[in-house]
This record gives sequence, C-alpha cells and structure tokens, in this order.
Amino acid sequence: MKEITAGKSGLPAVAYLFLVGIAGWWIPGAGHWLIGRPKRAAIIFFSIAFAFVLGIWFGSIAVIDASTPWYWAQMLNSPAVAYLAHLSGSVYHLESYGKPREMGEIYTGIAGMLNLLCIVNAVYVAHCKNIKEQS
Amino acid sequence: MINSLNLCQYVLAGFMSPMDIGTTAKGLLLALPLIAVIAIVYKAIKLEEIKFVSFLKEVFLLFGSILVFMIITAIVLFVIMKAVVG
Repeated sequence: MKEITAGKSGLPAVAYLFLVGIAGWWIPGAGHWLIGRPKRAAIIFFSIAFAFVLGIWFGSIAVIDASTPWYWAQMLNSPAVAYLAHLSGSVYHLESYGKPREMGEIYTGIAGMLNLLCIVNAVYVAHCKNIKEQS
Repeated sequence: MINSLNLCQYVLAGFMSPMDIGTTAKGLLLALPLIAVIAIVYKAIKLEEIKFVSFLKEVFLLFGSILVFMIITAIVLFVIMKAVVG
C-alpha cells in the first residue's frame, strides 16, 4: 500500500497538516509560509503582531489575565502569550482597569481569533494541495 | 539626549502601565486600526492572488463597508434609544 505524503516535504499528509497548524499558531503567518505563500505570511504576521502589540500598549500586559475568558482568545496568537500572562500576574503583579483594559482585551483577543482564521485557512489550503498532488 | 538604552526602557515601560484612554467620542477612533487589521487579514486569506493595487482596493472596500455598517448600526441604536428612553 502506497503511503500518502505531502508533496516535496515527504511528511505523511496528516503530519504535514498538523505541522502547518502548529507553525501558524506559534508564529502568526508561519503556516502560510510553510505552504509556499510568503506574501500572505508576511501580511498576516505584521497585521496580527500590530494588533496584538497595540492592544498591550493600550492596556499594558495586565490585559493578559489567565482568569478571564479573553485569555483563551489571546492564547490563539501564540503560546508565548502564556509567558506574558505569567509575567503580568506572578512576576510583576500588574493591574489594568476601565477603558484601556477593555481596548487591550478587544485588540489582543481579536488578533488571536484572526490568527485562528489564518491557521484554519492554511491547513485547508495545505489539504487541498495534498489532494491536488495525489490526483 | 535620549540614548538607546533609555529609549528601550521607555518603550518597554509603555507595556507595563496602561495608557490614559478616556470614555470620550474620540475614543471611538481607536476602532479604526482594528477594522483595518481585520480587513487586511481577511483579504490576505481570501484573495486568489495578491497584487498590491488590487489588494489595497479590496482592503479599502472592506474597511469602508465595515465602517459604514457600524455607523448605520450606531444611528439605528441611537434612534431606538431616543424612541424608548426619550
């Protein structure tokens, strides 16, 4: 039985899709870069990084608070967000209230959800490429 | 004169304390960069081909559409609020 692999990468198709998804989560845009779409990767990286940085600029890194539901949306930006949550909560004990916190949570949360959209798109395109190469 | 270390500390300090954002009408303008990012990322994954001019045109169209829709929503909510509360 012939093993299904993902194009030039030589990886099994499912492992390749998993790699694309994980790369896109660790670094926004990396999933698109892996599937050979560098322009889109750069646009996604700079846009999401801009929104995330602007969010923590507005409300400080205290907006990344593991006890709020926003944290799960923020975590979609990158696993590095967990380290920022550790810094703001356990190391510096920072607090942020009111409008700046609200704006910070909205910016960082929406940046994370946009990254999820990009991850799903990168995995879908990689899957379509696999099917095309096999047929 | 600000040396590079001071500048670096100044920038990092910006992430340790929140900005002063009042609940004013001007605060609504802070939605614009987010709308721009949403339009850019959405068009980056949806367009078949990325060419600078056509990409920019599509982004502006989506940015404008979101903005117009938000303004209409705000007007409708304001009218409803005025009709109910007075």
